[in-house]
Amino acid sequence: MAATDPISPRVSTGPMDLNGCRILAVDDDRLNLRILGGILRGENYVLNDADSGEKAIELYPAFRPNLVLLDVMLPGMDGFATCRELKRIHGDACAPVIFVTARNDTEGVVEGLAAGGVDYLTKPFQPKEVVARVRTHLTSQLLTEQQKHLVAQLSKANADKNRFLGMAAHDLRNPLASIRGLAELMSDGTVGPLNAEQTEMLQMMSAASQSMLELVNELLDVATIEAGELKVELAPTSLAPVIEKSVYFNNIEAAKKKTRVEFDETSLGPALLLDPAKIRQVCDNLISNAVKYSPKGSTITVALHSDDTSAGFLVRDQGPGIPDDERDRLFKDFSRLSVRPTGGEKSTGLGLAICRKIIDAHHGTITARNLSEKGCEFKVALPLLSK
Amino acid sequence: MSFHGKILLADDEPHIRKFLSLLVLRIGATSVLEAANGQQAVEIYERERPELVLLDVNMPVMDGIETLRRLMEIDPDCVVVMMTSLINRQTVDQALELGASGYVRKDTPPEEIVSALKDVVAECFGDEDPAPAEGGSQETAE
Repeated sequence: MAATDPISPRVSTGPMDLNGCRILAVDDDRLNLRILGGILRGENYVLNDADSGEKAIELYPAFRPNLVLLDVMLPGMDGFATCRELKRIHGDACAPVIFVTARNDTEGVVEGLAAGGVDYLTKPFQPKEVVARVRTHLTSQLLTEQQKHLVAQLSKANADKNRFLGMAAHDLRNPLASIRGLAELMSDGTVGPLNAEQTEMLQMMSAASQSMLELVNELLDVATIEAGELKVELAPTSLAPVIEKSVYFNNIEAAKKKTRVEFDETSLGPALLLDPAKIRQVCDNLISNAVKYSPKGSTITVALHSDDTSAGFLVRDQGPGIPDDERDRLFKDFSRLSVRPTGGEKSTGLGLAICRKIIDAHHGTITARNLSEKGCEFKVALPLLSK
Repeated sequence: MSFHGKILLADDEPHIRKFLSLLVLRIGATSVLEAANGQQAVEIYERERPELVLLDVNMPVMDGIETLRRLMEIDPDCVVVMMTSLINRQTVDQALELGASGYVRKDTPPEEIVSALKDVVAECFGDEDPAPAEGGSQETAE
């Protein structure tokens, strides 16, 4: 991972240090500029001036002011036009502009604030007022800049984290898959007979690498999703075959706990706009969760459902259900619940967050509820194809 | 099972080759040939003409896509399954367009890899019922 700047919000508790802030004063009347200079002399600002809007625009890029004091009545381009032009050129990065106007013309200035000014000062100047307003706007300007800087640093740190996660997960995956696969093949006698203890040890290796692989895959999914790279390729697809395949393979794992996954569906179900691989992933996750949290020997029921606007599938288990006060966390990253898997399985707490993001990308919903008898039900609903 | 034949595995990681070589015994491999990169895979293919090729996408010297292109030039009927570690849609589409018969993610559980390979064998050699419901060879677990 590339070295990054430490994230430093530069939190200050006292008043902000405004020393050295650059102020550009624009006025065609030299006397006004001198008065302003006198008022702000005690403040340790760096002052620069321009006698027209055009000059101000020309000076701006090199001087990079933190604040612009802009007279409204200027020869040539007036203050409002100058302000609009500055905002157009420098966009969001443009320094705040305070209009300077004669006391009897404040109504016009209020309208002119629409041109992008933040405030106005009236001539003749009230020194204390000028000092206070300039301070206020400089402080707010600096805070905004700090905030932008911090947000940029944080987004970069987050992107770096995701890239690192992605790389690490990717490079761990193949070796883990081999460890799992080789252990499994050895334990089932593919390469010769083993005694009971050897078989048990290999099964443990296989199970341990399996759960590591799941963790790594989920981390990779989260990294992908956070990087905004979750892409679903939606095509009209029947739901039943996707679910059937998932049920078939999950039954292999479930059989180890004497748990059964049932899916009695004879119809193909309606064709929905979905990404089969991603929906398969959601289905796998919901079923494997159900297996994890159900007592050994129980039955998990998978079924299709549909109504006027949506269709999808349900996964019902006979586990302990979801504690009421934990329901809000269910679909959030790393939110493991207090209920524990019944066969010592591992859980990352990322699975349901990933499911939710996949279903969101399908414009569908995923919900969970406790059943009145026992266990809980997860329901995925996808919008019907519009006729 | 009625598929019998030579299978060529091309992957730069020896542990993956070991794993896959044991796995393909279950779909009727009579012998397993191994290549550590695409260049070797092409050489072995020309010499041995295996019935089925499992091709890793990321390999040194010559990557899987380029290797696939060469293999299809040598033998347009060549049956190739791409082995990926990530499902990159673009790579998969490119491989299928070039003539690959399917793709499998290497971290798919072993029994599911077997099932996917059986699907391909069934489709390309016309025997053996695919394990679960439908027999599409192109959608393996992701």
